[in-house]
Amino acid sequence: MSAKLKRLPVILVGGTIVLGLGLIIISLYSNRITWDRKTAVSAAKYDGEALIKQLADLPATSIEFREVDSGPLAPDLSNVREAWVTWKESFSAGADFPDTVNAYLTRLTSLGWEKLESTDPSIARFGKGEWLVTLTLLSDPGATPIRFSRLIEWKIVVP
Amino acid sequence: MAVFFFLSCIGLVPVARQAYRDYRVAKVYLESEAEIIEFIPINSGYDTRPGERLNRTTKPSFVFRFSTKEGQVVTTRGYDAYGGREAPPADWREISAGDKVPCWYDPDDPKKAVLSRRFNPSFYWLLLMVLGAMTLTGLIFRECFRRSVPPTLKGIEKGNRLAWRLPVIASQRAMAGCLGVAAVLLGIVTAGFVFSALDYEVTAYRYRWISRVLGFNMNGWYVVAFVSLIITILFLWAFFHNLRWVGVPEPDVEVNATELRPGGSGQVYVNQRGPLKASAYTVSLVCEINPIAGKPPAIRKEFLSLGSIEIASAEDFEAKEWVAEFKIPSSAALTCKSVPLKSTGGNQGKDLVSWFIRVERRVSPKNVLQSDFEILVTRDA
Repeated sequence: MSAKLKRLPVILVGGTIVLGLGLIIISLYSNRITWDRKTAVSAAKYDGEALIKQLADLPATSIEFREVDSGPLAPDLSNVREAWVTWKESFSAGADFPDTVNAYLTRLTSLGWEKLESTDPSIARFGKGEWLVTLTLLSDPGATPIRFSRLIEWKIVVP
Repeated sequence: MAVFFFLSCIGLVPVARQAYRDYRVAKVYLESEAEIIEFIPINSGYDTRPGERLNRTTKPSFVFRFSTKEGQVVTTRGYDAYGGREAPPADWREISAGDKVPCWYDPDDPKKAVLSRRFNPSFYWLLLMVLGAMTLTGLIFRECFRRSVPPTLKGIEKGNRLAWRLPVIASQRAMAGCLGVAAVLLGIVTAGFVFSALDYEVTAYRYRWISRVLGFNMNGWYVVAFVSLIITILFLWAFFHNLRWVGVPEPDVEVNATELRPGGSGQVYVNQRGPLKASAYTVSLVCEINPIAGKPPAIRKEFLSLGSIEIASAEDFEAKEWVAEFKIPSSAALTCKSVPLKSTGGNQGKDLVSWFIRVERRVSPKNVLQSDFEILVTRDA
């Protein structure tokens, strides 16, 4: 048996062990990221529901079911560290859009939020950390009652 | 072997890590109050059929939030220092989202927090397995590094007729005893498998038809128990088969020299006591190189071959005795009992070589009782 052939079993066994250890380390790392993402999404959903409860008594009536979405559902290498949750709901309000925005501004600033700049008068945005609330006027300006949508977004990159 | 020893040493890492974590949980972690956000159980199990999953174990895991002494709000996930392994369900079943429960966190890394400070001593049984693996691989590892040692014989006594009386290597009694012990151990293991099968309450989808026909809950443990039972029966058969010949005494074999040189010759004296009834009685010189069960020996030279003999009782005066000469071939391989990885140049190669005086007694048409008595073939005899 030549020296090369004698080394073959050693190389095969060594290679298998190294490959096995490598796979274990990668799967542990992947599990850790998944674990952190699930934890963050769970906390965000909890906080999002709490925020919606705090906004529930504002003068507007929900006219659609609330859509809750989270993701990424099947993360790949490009977005494995990302996590997001959104709550989308449409409302009808008797007051005009600036008054509705003011009601949100009063409530949200008392909770530590701040109003973000928006060039479009039919869109109002509020932010706090990784949270964003966007109010978009859906009906014609001046029409009463008004229709507007509320999008609550939470998005992070898992450290 | 060094790799396997190294891998078994790696097994110490999780044990040491757990011990360190247990210490910190008990002595260093600080208490706080947690708000439970969500219960996310960790289920382990297997798929029974498309779309269905059988969960065998549920480990608790809660997402919870708490404030540290410094006022930092931390959200983390966990239950105890063992990842919820073997956590008593009574401790965590009542906890639900929104509850305020005590928690303990690591002041150095508050993300490491637990809702239960329980200590699980059964985890440390793992240490036994790790140490066992380390001992086993370590001993073999040490053996690999050992340099070639001169072979020696153990259990030699002073002979009556010739200089040395040789010990038998594997007697019929020892073999029957080993088989008996193995059969008993296998019987206990089989009984354990049967109890596991009877205890198994979950209906296994795979065996649903067999269960319906047999009228009991067929599951995988019955298959394991059946295989184990077959092996136990085989061992029991071998035990009783060997038990028939336990009463036949081993021959006494004496030689004038225990260490012989290639080309040298020696004298052997064989004393066989009764009761024994054999249709053939042979004494041979046997050399085995890297022996494998069922493979004929490399060298076998009969130097005493007798026909039918019958010895009525165990009385000394009824014993039969023979003296014979034997010769070691000049091209004989030297005895080698341990093969070092590092060649020391003294030996002929990397083969395990053993020399015996083999006494064979044909006690029935199908059964030959074999007794081996080792001698050494060395360069410096």
